[in-house]
Amino acid sequence: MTLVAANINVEFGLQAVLSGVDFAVSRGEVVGLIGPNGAGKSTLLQALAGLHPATLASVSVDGNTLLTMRIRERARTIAFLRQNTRVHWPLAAGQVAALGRYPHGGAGSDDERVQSAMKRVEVLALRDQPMSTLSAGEQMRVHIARALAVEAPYLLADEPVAALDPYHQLECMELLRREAQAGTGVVVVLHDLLLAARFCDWLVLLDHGRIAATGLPHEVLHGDALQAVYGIDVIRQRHDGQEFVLPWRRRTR
Amino acid sequence: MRIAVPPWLLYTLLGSLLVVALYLAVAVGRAPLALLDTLQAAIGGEDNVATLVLTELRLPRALLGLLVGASLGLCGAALQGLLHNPLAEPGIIGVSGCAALGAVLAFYTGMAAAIPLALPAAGVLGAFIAVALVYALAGRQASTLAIILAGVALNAAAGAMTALVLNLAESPFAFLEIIFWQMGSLADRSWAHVGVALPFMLLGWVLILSVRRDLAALSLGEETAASLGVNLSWVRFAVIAGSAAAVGSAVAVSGVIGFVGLVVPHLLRPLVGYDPGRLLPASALAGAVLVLFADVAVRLVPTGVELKLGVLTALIGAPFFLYLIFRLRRELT
Repeated sequence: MTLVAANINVEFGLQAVLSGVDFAVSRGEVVGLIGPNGAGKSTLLQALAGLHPATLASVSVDGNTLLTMRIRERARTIAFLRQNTRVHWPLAAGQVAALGRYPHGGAGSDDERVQSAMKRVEVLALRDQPMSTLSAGEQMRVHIARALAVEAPYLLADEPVAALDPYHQLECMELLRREAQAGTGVVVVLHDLLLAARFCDWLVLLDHGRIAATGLPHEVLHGDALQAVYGIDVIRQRHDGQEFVLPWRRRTR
Repeated sequence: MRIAVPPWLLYTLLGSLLVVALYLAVAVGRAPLALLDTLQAAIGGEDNVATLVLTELRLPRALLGLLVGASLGLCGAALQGLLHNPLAEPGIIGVSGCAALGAVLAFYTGMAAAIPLALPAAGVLGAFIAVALVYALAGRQASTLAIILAGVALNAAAGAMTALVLNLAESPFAFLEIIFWQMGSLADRSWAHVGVALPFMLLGWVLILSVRRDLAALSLGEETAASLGVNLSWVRFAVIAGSAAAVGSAVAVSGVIGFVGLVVPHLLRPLVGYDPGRLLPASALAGAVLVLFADVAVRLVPTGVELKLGVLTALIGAPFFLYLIFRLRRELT
């Protein structure tokens, strides 16, 4: 019941984007992927989703590598939500969410599953509205509904909260938590260290394509690692028995 | 703006229009025809001028109009979906240009006059060479942008070669024939033309219709589509090779009939709820209707010389194209 990546190496031309990265997420847990811009977070997420042909053999689900899986089977196993999804035609929200059923080949019970996914992110009422008329937050929730409609055991989301206001950021993270409680393995790329501490079971800190730290949130989010990787000073706080950090100032180099 | 109509209504509407268009295409022409009587006579095996006009002129012309129109509408819709570009049309990947060049070469070498089927065969061959060249230029990964750029380059090259052939044509007769053929027409086509084009068109239609759900998934972009299990390289191949087969053979038998592949998907898109997959069969039907009506119109316009079909579609299509650019510009700014 684990999605495992072993020794992932990705190069774009001569530039190594990921070198020797190991990663694992089990069903039922939320793993946060953090790190500065250009650290390789999105690339790692793409590799986990099987979108880099060169790394297919290094990623496996329950012992079967993605290389041995059929492309539709892989898509049914790993749902992927990229950053800034653009919808190319003025499709309605319901049509976008329904595309989550594509990997299943369009069976009869699809409508209910799409509706259930839309209900969970509270966009069912927007079903007939064109995506272009929705707010950024509503659009993001429709895309999340699309990813949920896949009903995959693993869900990978690349900065799903980037465009959301604080209320909807919390809502989105709570939703990912609930999905994990229901048995989904969730990997989420985050820039917000507060949300990372609040909602993730494990954190993986990437820096220049390598893993700088990995472990429980309070282990990863200690001052030294953040100073070294992000080049910032943080304020450590505790509330309701939970530890979190606030980015405070850049370190002068 | 949601004006999607239920599929049964849309197809009933398009189907009825197609029946009317086919009736007119068979009934209207220079020679007046008592359609029912002639049809009965033809079925009864009679051979007179009227039955010959019907079976050897009107019927193949109408059927060819249907096939060409359906191919243009279908391929236009598929390419717009694949390239995420509402201004894409079958010409954009260089298929039309190379098919036309192949046909022009057949004229120039005199093969077209010597062997009746050399002309359409050369056109189809040109279209397939175009696909091979697009892939050679765009590389193994063949990204969408690379395909568009390769198509632009190919169109330019085919245009230059066509101009060269015209330049070198020694007999003014061949020159005129090439010019007239390029204008696009369905006049004086025979069952042989239908026979040449049909297999390639069917092949192209099957390839393209087989990826219609993938085209819907592609509206979320290539990365998301790939994560949903769309085999991108197969979809690209199916659409491009399918368009080459269908449009290549259309150009080969009828010359260049522009703008149908651009305009038809546009008019239909709101009616199918903007779904790129549902757009395909609807565009095929509407393309057939449009070409058939246009082909009836060229026979009715009282000009001294019969108006060429491609000229008429361009006269209607060009202003529409301008309107589209105007509207897109407003959306972008």
